[in-house]
Order: sequence, then structure tokens, then C-alpha cells
Amino acid sequence: MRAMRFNGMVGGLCGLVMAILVLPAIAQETPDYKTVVKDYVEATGGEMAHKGIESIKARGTVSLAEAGIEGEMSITQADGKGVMKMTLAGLGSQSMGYDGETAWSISEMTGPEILEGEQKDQFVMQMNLSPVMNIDQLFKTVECTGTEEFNGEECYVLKCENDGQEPVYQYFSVESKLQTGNKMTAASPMGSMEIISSLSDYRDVNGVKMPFKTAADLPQGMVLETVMDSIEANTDISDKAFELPEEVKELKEDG
Amino acid sequence: MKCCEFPGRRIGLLILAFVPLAAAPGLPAADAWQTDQATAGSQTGPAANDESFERAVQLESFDAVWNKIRQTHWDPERVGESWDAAREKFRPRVEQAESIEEVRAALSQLLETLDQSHFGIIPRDDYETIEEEQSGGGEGTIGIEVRLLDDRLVVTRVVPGFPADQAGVRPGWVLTGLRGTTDDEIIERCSKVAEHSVMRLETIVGLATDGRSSGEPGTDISMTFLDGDDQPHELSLTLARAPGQLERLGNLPAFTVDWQARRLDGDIGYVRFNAFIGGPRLAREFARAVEEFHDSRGLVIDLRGNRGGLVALVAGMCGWLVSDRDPIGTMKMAGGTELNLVLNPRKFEIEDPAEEDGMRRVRFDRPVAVLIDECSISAAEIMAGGLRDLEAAEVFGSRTAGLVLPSVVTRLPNGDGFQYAMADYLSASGQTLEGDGVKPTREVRLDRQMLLERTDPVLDAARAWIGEQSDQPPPGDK
Repeated sequence: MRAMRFNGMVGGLCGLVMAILVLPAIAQETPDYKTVVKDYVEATGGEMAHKGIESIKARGTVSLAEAGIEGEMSITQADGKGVMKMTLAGLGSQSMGYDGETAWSISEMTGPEILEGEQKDQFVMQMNLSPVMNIDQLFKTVECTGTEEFNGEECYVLKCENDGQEPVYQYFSVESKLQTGNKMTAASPMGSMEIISSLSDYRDVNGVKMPFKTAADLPQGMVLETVMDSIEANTDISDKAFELPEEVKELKEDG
Repeated sequence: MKCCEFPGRRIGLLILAFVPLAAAPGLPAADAWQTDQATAGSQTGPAANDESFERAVQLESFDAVWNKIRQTHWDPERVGESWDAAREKFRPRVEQAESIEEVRAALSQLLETLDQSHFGIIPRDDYETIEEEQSGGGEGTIGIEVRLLDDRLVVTRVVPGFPADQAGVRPGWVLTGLRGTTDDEIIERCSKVAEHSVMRLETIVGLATDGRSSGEPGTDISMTFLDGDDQPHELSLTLARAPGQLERLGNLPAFTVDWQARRLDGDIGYVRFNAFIGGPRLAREFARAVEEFHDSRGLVIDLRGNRGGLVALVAGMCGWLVSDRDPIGTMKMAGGTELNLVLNPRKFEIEDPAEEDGMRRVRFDRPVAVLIDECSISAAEIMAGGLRDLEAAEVFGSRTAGLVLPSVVTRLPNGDGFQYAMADYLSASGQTLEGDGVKPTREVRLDRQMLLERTDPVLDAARAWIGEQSDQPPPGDK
């Protein structure tokens, strides 16, 4: 289980005293969030290398090891559009996509849906090819709140907020400058739930370091792990890849 | 500016879709009889002097169970001091265990202290046996269902064409002996299990007689009955392979899922399936049935004896029967997370010459009747309770098992499966179904005479109700 320890989370007067005591140290050591982002971009290949990547095609495996469930996933992204598909044995497939206008999902068991509101916002944000570099465009306020231990590493924490939405926390290793994970309150028709994801196994793709492994803590106390077999950049991706599926078109026509 | 980030981080939203994979069939489905035997300490697995019995691994398994529940249980009171005390009491039993059965008994007793469903141990042999059989399909059955009615074991269903049917067994017959055990002994043993189980006696009897009359296809089993005239019949029946398709879902033992859909006399659609496993296949079958029966007088969904499965599949099926995005229930998890099982209303296409392209998209708008009994378990209860609360169906039969907690199954270091509930469950009306079960809106109290005269009084009641609705608006907000 990944450990997360928050600095200075102590209640009442004791907490206040501690906050005052640690304040000078934090103020001295906590960099501006732009520095954290800049360091991250440098550590992962530099701005030019990042700018050179215009599309992504990735394939991998997913597993809920504890429940004995395995499957495959694929992601295709370009121009802010994207399609993700995951198939788990016994559970069927689940796809999500965004064609630049409509965000949608299709579950083999529960059917097609059009994503609205915060759910759509979050998905569109995830389809951005560079959410860290574009952090100022994606969030209204960003601040570096200090350091926390995340996955056994001392990390800078960027607290990213938009009006009326729960903050997203992004963690960057103090030592390597790489992003080690994030914590978000994900919106869904079922309600909100906190998901903590850790990123690891960074490898070079067209001059940019990308993590090939993700582990997400689910509310059931299980971990969903994704291991990418391949990530290809700048391959030919037809616009057809992002066209709305027929079921979604029908749903739109139904109103 | 175009640049890149890792695609894998973006699975966050996608995985939400799989969160409600809970509510696997309750352990009671395994076999109430086995639970009784394990508790009694019968020995068929490796013993302490056997190399395969590693005490350290058994202790590791105990700790894994104890810690997982401490970590994931939603009710802090149940996993507070009393949970610590349970560890102090039962861990020494594993330290001193002489066999795997004693380890399982200690673990089962630890889990029984929670007094809730969907906590249990699945012997690793259950996986191996079923894996050996996978090439041939399901396990053997004689094709009957038995329920406890007025303190007697009464046949409530006979599957046409199966050994019991071929031997002349009929609904209303009384089972007086099964594999050398008398009906009184069966009831007595089940009563003992009920004393330390969250299951009701009626549920245990239904599951135990099902388990005892199943086995390897080709096996002969002895049974004695009293027919409708109280005349005794002594039969030796050879188990036939159960109908259906073997389906798998993670660490659950493979399960033979039987799907039936047909049009009954009186132009009424009828579907029956014994579990919510094999999600994609059943989702397609259900969609096909809804479309096929859209022009019928109504639809009967028979969940009697259904052992449960995927909650997501329940939500998917119910989506075809409603017009609003309402939740059918709520899962309350550790840390205060609450997830609503929101339905996604679905439409299908029918031919309509009046339309430009000759097709029209419609919702299913016929009356829906759901049939339940004391062996309708878990996801089956969630479906029946949800449709009842949303007034999208009329529910016929008898109260369900009350074993509804959403759960997952993991494997322990010793190879056994471990099922644990990870959420409480409230139906759409806010009612806790665990323990209480789903009460039908139209109770049909079965008795032997009724079964002898009418074969299936519950289905008859549902058909009659659908007939009455044919000239009226369907129930619920369609």
C-alpha cells in the first residue's frame, strides 16, 4: 500500500503551533509551482522534445491483481481529442472518448452515455497531451503547498484548483523532478470518489521520458495497475479514430 | 503548443466504470453443507505433518484476512476492539491447527463474528475441481429445486427433460431422503448451521439440498420422495450436466450460467438466469430479450434461485426498464465514500413505416414482473429491490435471502479464496437489504397442495397480474 503522509496535519491549537513552527522552513524550501513544472519538463526531455510530440498511441495491460482480473487497454490521442478502451475478462469493455466537442463513454454492460459537467471537464483535461506543461490553462489556481512523502519519496505537491471543483494534487519527486503520482476526486454519475495514482517506470519515447506503469488505488481497497507495452509518438492517426460511435450519435439524436 | 504526457495517468476516469464490480455471489452459494463440515473439523486437506501444510503460510493467510477487513470495513465499530479481541481468540487456533480444515474453521469463525454476509473462505479445491471440469461445461444436476415449506422439503421446480423430470418427479412432491440422509436429518443439520450463520434456515435448506443433489455428471444419487398421494418413491438418478455456459470472473470459482428466454402462453415474455456472471454475454442476451418482447403483454424476470454476481450487470439490465437516471441503490464504503448505482436509461430500435428511415427508437414500456424467493441472493436482491423501489416492476414470491453486501474475492497465501464485503448497501428507498432481504410487493405463500395443483403459483400470479395490466398504463414512470 502506498503511504501518504501529510505535513502538519494536526488538529486544534497543537496544529496551529506546529504550523507556525514549520512555516519559516516551508517558506524557505518550497519553490514556486512554475519551478516545479519547469524542472519536470527539463527532467523528462526538455521543452523542445515535448513540443515535438503531436500524438500518442499506447497499448498495455491492466490488472486488478487482488481480484484476479486482467485485461487490455489502449489509448489514442491527438489534437486534444482522444479515445481510451479497456477490456477486462468477465467484465467486458469500457470505452471513453472526446471528439473535440462531445465527451462520451460506452460500457458493454450499461450502454452509451454522454459525459456532462465535471465528468466531461475531467476527461477533456485528461485528453490534453501535456497537462503539466499546460497547467496554467487547465487550472484557475496552482500553488506548490510544500513537500510530502508519496510512495516513499519526498515530493513537491502542486495543488491545482478550478471553481466549484475538488482540488487535484500532483506529486513531483524532489530528487528526480519526475511526477510520481496524483490524487483527485473523480466525478462520475455514481458520485465522487478519491483516486490516488502512482506513476513509475519512466522510459524514453521520442526523447521524452514517460512512465510506463500506473497503479491506482480504488475505493474497494484494491489497486488497478496499468503496464504499457508500447507507447508510440507521432504515428499517423486518422480523424476517424475520434469519430463518435454510432450508439453515441443515436443518443445525441435522442436528445 | 503540443507536447506529451503519459497516457496511463488518464485511466482514472475509465476505471470508475468498473468500480461496481462488487456483489459477487455469496459464499453460501458454495454449499452450506461444506461450511458445516468445515466447522465440525472433518479432514480432507493437507495435515500439519504434510509438506503442503506450511504453518507460516497459514498464519500469513489469517493475518491477510484480519488486516484486509480492518482496512476496508465501512463500520468502524465492527472492526474496533471486538475485532482485536477476535484476533486474539482465533489466531492461536491457527497456530495450533493440525489441518487445513482447522485453519478454515478458525477463519470462518473469525468472519462469523462480523455477523454479515459475503465474508468467507473458498477452499482452493473448489477452484481445482471446477477447472478440471471446464472443458465439459457445468456440473451435474438432477434438475429440481427444493424449498422448506411447513417444515418439509418440498420440490418447487422440476426442469423439463432432466433426470428428475424423466423419473416422474413433480412440483409438490416431498423429498424424504437424499444420498442416505433423511429429511429430518437434513433440516436438523441446516438448523445447526443457521444458529451461527447470517443466512435464514429456508435459504440454507435451499442451498444445501441443491449442493447435495449436484456433483460430477454421470454420478448416481439415491433419493426418496412422497408423491402427491403420499406414496413413497425410491429413485436412483444419474446426474446430467447442468445447462448453461461456464463463466469466470476473477477469483470467483467458475460458475455455470444458464440463460433462458421464451414467450409464454398468453403472449408474455419470460427470462430466467441463475447468476449475474458472464457480464457481456448476459447483457447482450437481456438486451435482445427486451427488444424481442417489446410487443408482448409484459415481461417476467425470474430471479428465483439466482445466486447474484456483478452489480454493474444489474444496473445495465435495469437501464432497459426505466426512463430516468435514478439510482437503484447506494454503496457505503470505508472512509465515507458513497457510490450511487445510477441507471442509464436505454432505447432500442423497432420497425415503424411511419418514420423516414422505417425505424423508431423506443423504450420498453410493458409491465414487468420480477419473481423472487429465499434463494434469490446478492445482485438478484439488488435488482428486485431496486426495481421495486423505483416502481418499475411488481415483485412476486417470497422474501429474498438478505445477503446483499457488495464484495470481492481475493486469493490468500495458502491458495484459498477469501471473499470480503467492502460496502454496506442501501436500496433506492434507503432500506438496508442485508439481513432483511427484499419483500415482494405481492407475496405468494407456497404450500404443497398449491404446487401439486398449479405447478408454479408464483409465475401464475405474475401472469395474471400482467394480464390485468394489458389495458392499463404499465407500472412506474415509463
